[in-house]
Amino acid sequence: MDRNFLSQILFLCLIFAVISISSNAQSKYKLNIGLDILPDDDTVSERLKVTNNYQFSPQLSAGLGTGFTYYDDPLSLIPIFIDLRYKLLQNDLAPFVFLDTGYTISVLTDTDTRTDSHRGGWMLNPGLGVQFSPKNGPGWYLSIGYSTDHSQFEREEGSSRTIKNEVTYKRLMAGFGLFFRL
Amino acid sequence: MKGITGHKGYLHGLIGLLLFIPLFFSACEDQRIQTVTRTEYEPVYMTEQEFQNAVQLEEPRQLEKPGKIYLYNGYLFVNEINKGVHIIDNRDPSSPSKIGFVNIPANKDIAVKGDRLYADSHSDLVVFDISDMQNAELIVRKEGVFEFSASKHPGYPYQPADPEKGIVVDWKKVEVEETCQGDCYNGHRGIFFDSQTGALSEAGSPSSGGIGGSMARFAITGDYLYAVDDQSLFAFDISSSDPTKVSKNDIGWSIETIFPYEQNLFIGSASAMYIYDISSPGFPEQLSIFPHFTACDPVVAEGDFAYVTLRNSERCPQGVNRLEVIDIQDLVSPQKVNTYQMLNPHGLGIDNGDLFVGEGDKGLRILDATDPANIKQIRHISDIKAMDVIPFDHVLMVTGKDGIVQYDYSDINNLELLSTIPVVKE
Repeated sequence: MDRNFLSQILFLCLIFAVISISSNAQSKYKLNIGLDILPDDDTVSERLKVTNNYQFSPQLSAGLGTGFTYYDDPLSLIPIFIDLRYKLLQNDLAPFVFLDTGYTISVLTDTDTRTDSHRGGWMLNPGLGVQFSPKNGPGWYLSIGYSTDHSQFEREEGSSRTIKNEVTYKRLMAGFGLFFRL
Repeated sequence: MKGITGHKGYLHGLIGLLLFIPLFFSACEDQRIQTVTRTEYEPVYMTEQEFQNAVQLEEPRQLEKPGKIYLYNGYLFVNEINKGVHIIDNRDPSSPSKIGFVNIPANKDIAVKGDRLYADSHSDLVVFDISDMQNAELIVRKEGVFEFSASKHPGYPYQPADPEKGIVVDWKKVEVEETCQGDCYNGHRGIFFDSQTGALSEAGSPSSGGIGGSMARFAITGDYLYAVDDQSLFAFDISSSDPTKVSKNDIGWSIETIFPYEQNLFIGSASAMYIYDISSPGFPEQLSIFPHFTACDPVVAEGDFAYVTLRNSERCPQGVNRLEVIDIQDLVSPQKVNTYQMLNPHGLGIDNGDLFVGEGDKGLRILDATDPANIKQIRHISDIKAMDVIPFDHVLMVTGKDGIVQYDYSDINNLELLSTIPVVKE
């Protein structure tokens, strides 16, 4: 599994988005598809995420999401998270704040690295952004924030040594995405 | 602003959350923590004074980790690895009784002749007067005669010994946990090659001393004590009460066992069997080297044949598991006669064509070697742990992790259990 996999998922999501363009403008359900960029000093990681939100009020929505976070490490992560969004204004173009938090499932993406066990951990991604929500058709958003993920992998060497690696990713993030009313 | 008013609570909560974002920004570098947990051998030290004062006869004690054994004149001497020697009255093999325990720090090998018990203690050779078994007494200590095996670690990985902390008298297993930032393990913490498993056993062979197991590093012939360490063969003149080192031969590497037979010494190493001529006893002369696969390999001999077991183990990870029979009629040019597949052969012993092979945790194999080119199995006892054996006078002594078991093999087809001296687990 590598970045090609990520690209394939993104492609499928875009197809889904196109299908969803014939959406119901009155629906309170929204499908968000986004891509976050998570740079560190040496590498840039990406997180594709898809959330299904319910519009509780004109400004507040919440939903469940999942996705795929590719890290340049033995493990990548599949997050399962709650997404909370609050528009600060009721205009079509409005700033918003958000919080994504949940748990990640680890996936071994570097098969050259031997691991005997691995697991993900809690994720937290608060941030703010600006979104454009036209009355009809898909909207879009841009966001920035802070993202932290946790993963752990372990291997035994012989019968006498165990090596456990714990990684806490602490990244600034920038994201963009589209959303569609279902 | 209607929404803000309507959802003031939400808004305040989210804005409050955002106030925490700068705190997260203070740590925007990935945190990588590696924890290495390893079990390794740690040296146990004694000061020089403690080391020398520790040598004394003590009350009999239970076997805990028996090593080499040596049979002499009806008495069984059993090394307790790195602790000392059990003295056992075995004149009635069906009812052995412990007489005492000689506390000898860092002891692994023993041999007996006359009224003297010879033992190593770290790099020293110590000699005890055992004319009164109930009152064994240290009479001589030859300091620093052994060079390489004294501080030998019993396995891998191990912590390097620090001479400034004292004399290494034992090793204990400890669990070490090390946590560091990033990919911190660099392979230099603890040493991860292989070493001697410090397991049980002992060897023996006919000599003018007693009889040791096939895995012995000490052997007595005539007035000479022969000892091997990792690389060398030492000859000591023991005609007097004060042994004198007469010669030292550098043999090779990973020397493991010594077996005296007639006028020769058969020395097992991880890579070869060496044959030495001791017609000039103080100055053994190499006759030949018979190379084999790298493996752990005690050797015994009888008649015109030598028997070598090759074992794959932690110490010899690339080894094979088999018995090799070597024709030694021409000691200068030994020839392999046949090989036989084994499970995990350790020590072995032979008496008049009855060949006994300890298969470690896989039991004891009893073989008919009257025709060395066509050895046949008589029986495989799988429910005992057999590291080494001494067959003598129809009594087979088997050492293993569970203790010392003795059989009467007068009828080779029907071994009779005589006694068991059990190991008592700590």
